[in-house]
Amino acid sequence: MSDTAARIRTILKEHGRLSKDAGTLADDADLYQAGMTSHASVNVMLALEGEFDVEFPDAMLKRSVFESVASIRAAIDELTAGR
Amino acid sequence: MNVLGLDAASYTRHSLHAESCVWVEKNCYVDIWIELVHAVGCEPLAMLPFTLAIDFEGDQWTFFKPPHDELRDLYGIDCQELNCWRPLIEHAQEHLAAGKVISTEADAWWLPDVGGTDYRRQHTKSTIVLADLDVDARRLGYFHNAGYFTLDGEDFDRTFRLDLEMPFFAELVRLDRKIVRAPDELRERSRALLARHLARRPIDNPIAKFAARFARDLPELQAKGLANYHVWAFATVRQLGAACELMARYLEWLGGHADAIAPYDAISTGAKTFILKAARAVSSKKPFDPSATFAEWITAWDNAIAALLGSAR
Repeated sequence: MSDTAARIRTILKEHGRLSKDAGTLADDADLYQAGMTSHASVNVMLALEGEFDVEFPDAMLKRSVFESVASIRAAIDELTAGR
Repeated sequence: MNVLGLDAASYTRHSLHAESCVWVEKNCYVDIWIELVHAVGCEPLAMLPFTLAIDFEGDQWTFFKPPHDELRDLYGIDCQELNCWRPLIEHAQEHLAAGKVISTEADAWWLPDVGGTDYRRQHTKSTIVLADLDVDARRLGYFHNAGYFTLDGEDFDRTFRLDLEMPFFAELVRLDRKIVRAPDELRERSRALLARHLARRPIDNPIAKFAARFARDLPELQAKGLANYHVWAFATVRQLGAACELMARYLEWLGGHADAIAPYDAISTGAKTFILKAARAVSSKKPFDPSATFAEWITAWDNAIAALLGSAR
């Protein structure tokens, strides 16, 4: 597992309020299906911005960006490319 | 007493509650009506014109609900307040056995379907529909938010407040004169409702009122923090966004309103982004100026209403 994915999973454990273990979810598993509410996704978004020192642009502030570990990682990779 | 013969494990939600929606959950009351109407074999999209008349009320947007007379006219479903003169569970036994269901306020603390938010964590008033009751097994089948679920044990006891005398507000829903109308007839009746609600739309652009209030309220929101922000956002931005998404899906179903669908969808998706951006502003306490976003929504609202008025002529 990449370091980025591991850090995302830690944030999901702390803020996602999932009904399943964020550590064992498949990368492409739907986080909303796993119990993440809109309310929780707001806290996940804020925690991700703090953890990775990024600010999601408006185009990324939509439900689909936060729907899986893989989609979150793709967004984080894009925002941190070149660092 | 499984009034509708439903099984929570195999229950299929209406498309208005699909995971692909911008706002999967709208508000607890309209959500249960979408699913109840769907579960009895009728089309809930037809009842949605009331969502176009939402207004900004100062500290909240209209908590929009389907008018009961329209449920009766469209679907033959009758909803009246239940006079709770005895414990709710006794009323439930009586009426579910007679083929009726009961809508009642409930404390989400005891509703296991909201495991990600309030269940065993926070006391929050919500609304559920009692549809399947097994008193011996202390098990309940109920509609809540976007789906149909079961609860049992202590959750059952506390949902029926067996240790308390004062019940929540409840409504009795009769289904014995239900009408499943042909699609064309349903659209024709719904079109009349659209004209009715268009006539009672807000006098002024409500988004302009909301924008002015938000500018005043932002410092207080930032001072009070995220927990307060979440309940504020539910009462405001979520109601606006969800209502606009419902209007867009409704007009798609009705047909022929592409020029109103686009602006409603623009507000709905924009509101989703706004909730996250405003949360960031509350969390960081940094300046946040959404005036450009509000200007777009104000125009979109005016365009949607103008398109509907144009079609109505």
